[in-house]
Amino acid sequence: MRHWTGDIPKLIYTHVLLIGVPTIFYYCLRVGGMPLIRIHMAIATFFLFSSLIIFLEATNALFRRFAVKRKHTAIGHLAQLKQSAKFVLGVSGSQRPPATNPLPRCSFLVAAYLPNEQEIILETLKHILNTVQRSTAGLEVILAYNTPVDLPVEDDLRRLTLMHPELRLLRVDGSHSKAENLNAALHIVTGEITCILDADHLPASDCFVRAWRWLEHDYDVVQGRNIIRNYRHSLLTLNIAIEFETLYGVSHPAKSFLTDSSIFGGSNGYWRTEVLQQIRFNPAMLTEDIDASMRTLLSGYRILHDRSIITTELAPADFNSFWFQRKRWAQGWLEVSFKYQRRVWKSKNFTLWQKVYWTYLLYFCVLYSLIALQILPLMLSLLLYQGDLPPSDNPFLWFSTVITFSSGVYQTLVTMKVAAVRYPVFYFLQHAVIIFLYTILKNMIAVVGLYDHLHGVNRWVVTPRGSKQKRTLQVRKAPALAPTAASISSAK
Amino acid sequence: MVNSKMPRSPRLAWLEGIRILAAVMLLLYHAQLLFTGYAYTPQPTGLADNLRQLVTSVEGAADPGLLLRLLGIPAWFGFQFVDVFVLVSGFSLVLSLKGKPLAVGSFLKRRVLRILWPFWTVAWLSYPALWAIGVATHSYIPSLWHTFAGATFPLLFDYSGELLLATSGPWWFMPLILSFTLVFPFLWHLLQRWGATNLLLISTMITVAYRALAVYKFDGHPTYVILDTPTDWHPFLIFLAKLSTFVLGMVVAQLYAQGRGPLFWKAQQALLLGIPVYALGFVCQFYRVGWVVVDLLLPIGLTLCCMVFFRALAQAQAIATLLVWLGGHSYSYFLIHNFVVDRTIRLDVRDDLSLYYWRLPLMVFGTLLLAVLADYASPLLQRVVAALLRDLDYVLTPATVRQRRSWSPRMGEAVLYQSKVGWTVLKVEKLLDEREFFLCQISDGQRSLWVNEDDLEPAVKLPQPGEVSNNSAFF
Repeated sequence: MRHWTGDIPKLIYTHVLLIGVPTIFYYCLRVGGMPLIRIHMAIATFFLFSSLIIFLEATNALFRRFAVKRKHTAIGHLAQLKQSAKFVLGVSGSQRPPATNPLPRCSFLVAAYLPNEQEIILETLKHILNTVQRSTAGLEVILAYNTPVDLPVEDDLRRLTLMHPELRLLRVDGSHSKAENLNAALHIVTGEITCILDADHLPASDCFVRAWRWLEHDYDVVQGRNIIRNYRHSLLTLNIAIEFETLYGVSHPAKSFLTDSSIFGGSNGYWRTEVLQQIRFNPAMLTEDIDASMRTLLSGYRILHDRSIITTELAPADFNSFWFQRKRWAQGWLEVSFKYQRRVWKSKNFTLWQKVYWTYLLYFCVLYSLIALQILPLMLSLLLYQGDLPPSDNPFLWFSTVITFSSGVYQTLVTMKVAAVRYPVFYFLQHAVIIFLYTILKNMIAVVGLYDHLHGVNRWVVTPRGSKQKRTLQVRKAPALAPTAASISSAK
Repeated sequence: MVNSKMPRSPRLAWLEGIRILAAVMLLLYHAQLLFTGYAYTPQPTGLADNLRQLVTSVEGAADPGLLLRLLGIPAWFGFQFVDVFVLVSGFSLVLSLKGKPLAVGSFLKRRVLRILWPFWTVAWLSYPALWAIGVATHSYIPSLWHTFAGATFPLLFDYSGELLLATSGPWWFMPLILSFTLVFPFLWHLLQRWGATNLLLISTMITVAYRALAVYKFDGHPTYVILDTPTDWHPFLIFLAKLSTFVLGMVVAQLYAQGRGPLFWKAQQALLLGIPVYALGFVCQFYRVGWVVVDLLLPIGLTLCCMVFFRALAQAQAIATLLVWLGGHSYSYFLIHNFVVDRTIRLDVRDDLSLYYWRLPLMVFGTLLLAVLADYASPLLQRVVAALLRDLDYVLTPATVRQRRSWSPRMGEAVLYQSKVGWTVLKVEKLLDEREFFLCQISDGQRSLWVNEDDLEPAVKLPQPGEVSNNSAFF
């Protein structure tokens, strides 16, 4: 089993390079009498920009855009005026379109690594088979899995197929990745809508019904909301749970509303099957879900995020799994950024605003983790030079600092308001307390991810599932979601 | 001497030893010159006069004592290793061909970038550091013009590297080594056409004739001599002044590839030739007439003697491995060493003799540390710059040119991956990315991987000459 401590030399090297060396550099400039206020203001501007984006996203996410029903009842003049005002301000929200056609045949593609996920796969399948609403055209559940050896759980799975003919088992021999499992399943899938799920995801019963209302109209992919169900397990899982509420409840919906584009997060995504069968998944990519999202958007298809479509999933239960999961995400987004950013700029399928926003999500995020760090050497050099950190008298620095810190608070408050689970307020308070350290930790991991990416290292450890399994596999797995600059900066 | 990431032959560990020794000797040479205020450089005043200067104390400077003065003598002649670099460069360029035909375009691109990337890495990382040190200590900072010249080299290329000197004195060597790389394909062509003996003969005649002109008609002097002459060292900066040494390196490499030549000599035989040739070259340094041939003789003698020494040393596997590793960083070491020496002596040591001796090992190992870091950073910089250029090119190209697919990979088909044979297609997936493309799972029998169709070629198409070559050595 690889351990995160194996990355410590990289962590030290990258941070000596990004913090230690600049500290000496800035210190030399201070000794030479050079004012560094312009550098400070440039970094503060970077923070300010990110914070304003957080305010923008959080404000948009406050309105329940994709879950509201059309109001057919007569409303008063005041209410009409209020609606008109909201419309003029652009905050009236997108109402969920009514379905005009019956829900077609639906398919679940559940991807699983065995034996890593053998303890949870049965629970997931039983949940799906027993709770999800069927259309009259029927439902199928395909479990696409790979395993290096025959396992007892396969007998259990076969027994389950006898009880539920809707379940189909597909053992993908020779597969080493989720992408290969899914691609194999796409040859046999029969539903008109296909939902992709990870082995630990438990979808809500009305998931297809909700997704169909978008897919029936102009959208090709609908991404739902993932929430953490093992949030009580530890402080780590609790914080991940709040973080997921922010990402899936605030950032992604806001992005979808603001740009009319979104990402497929690897699970709880609902595809028009004919589109998915063309897009498929690239096993050569570290985050094949984000890669598929980019190819989908570049090919002119549309993705929407609907936070009312819910699945629950398991957060990494220990720090080691968390480390490698986050590094994988950071590295995967880098890989996608370097591959697709330029194509986004030239694509005819992106509007100008979408291009700007996707630049923010791709290249800006790459830069953010590096530039945000520069505030530390700037402060450290001042501490070395003066022996203390006197408060600045520059109004812009004060303004940017206030905005930066308040953006995190505002985002947390909005998350409380729109959270799928009514967590105790205490959870949010403790998240707000440690979010600064949590963000620094994520940035550190992102920097190590950048190091690995630039060195062409892309092997990783599968997130262990279940209570006993801690198995190292040299395979690739897509993240359930990915960090954005907004999420990175959410702690500020 | 260039890239630590490149595979290097353990059989030539002794060569790597020579490279790092050469780089360290140049550091010691520059340190001694700087500390003593250029107290001694070889003068055309005869052997006896030069020897007397070497053993007498420097006027006005602290005297380290006779023993240390004697121990310091080799450092006064560290410059001799510049010509060793030239010899090794010719040798390495031939070896880089791995016996395959020379494809001029790809060869030049590969070799020139192999020289320039480490140089750019050192330059781009050094300028901010030099600037910060200069600001902090109110000491020398290269002007913006010279910084521009260094950071964009060889944009402002000139034979003498005049614009680089303001940044680092030893960087005058950059135009020279770049010249040799550029002229190599022509020399290689002549080597194949004329044969080793004829080329060596002609190149030696040209070199001797040119050097005679340089001394007697152009009124120049070798690069390591400080003397007031009309053209100073300029006539000795161009590749013609060292052409025969470079060609000799090429010829030795060709012989080595054929399993013969001086590299297969026994120690006794090598020393029997090496020591007299070196001794002759050493004496030639002190006579004007000797300047005509000195740089032809010294690298031969020095390399033969060093070969014997390092070959014996590399018998131990651990030392061989160490030498290979050190040799991999010798180029960056060379590029960086003068920054360390110059700033340490000017800002820290000043004229404190004991401090100088204390700082010497720090300078030697500190430079090595910086060289390792630079070699570590170089591939990262390359990837970042390549990505930026690729993006820029993509955005600025009015219409995206899509190549028509000329071939569709099929399961079981033998293919070339990165121009390497032995790969078979296991699986093919058709994906959409604005247009359909194939993603292939390929295997070489030991491992399998997924690659884009653009990375594959049908195995029936023979690789272009030079495509397979992936050699390492620069010097």
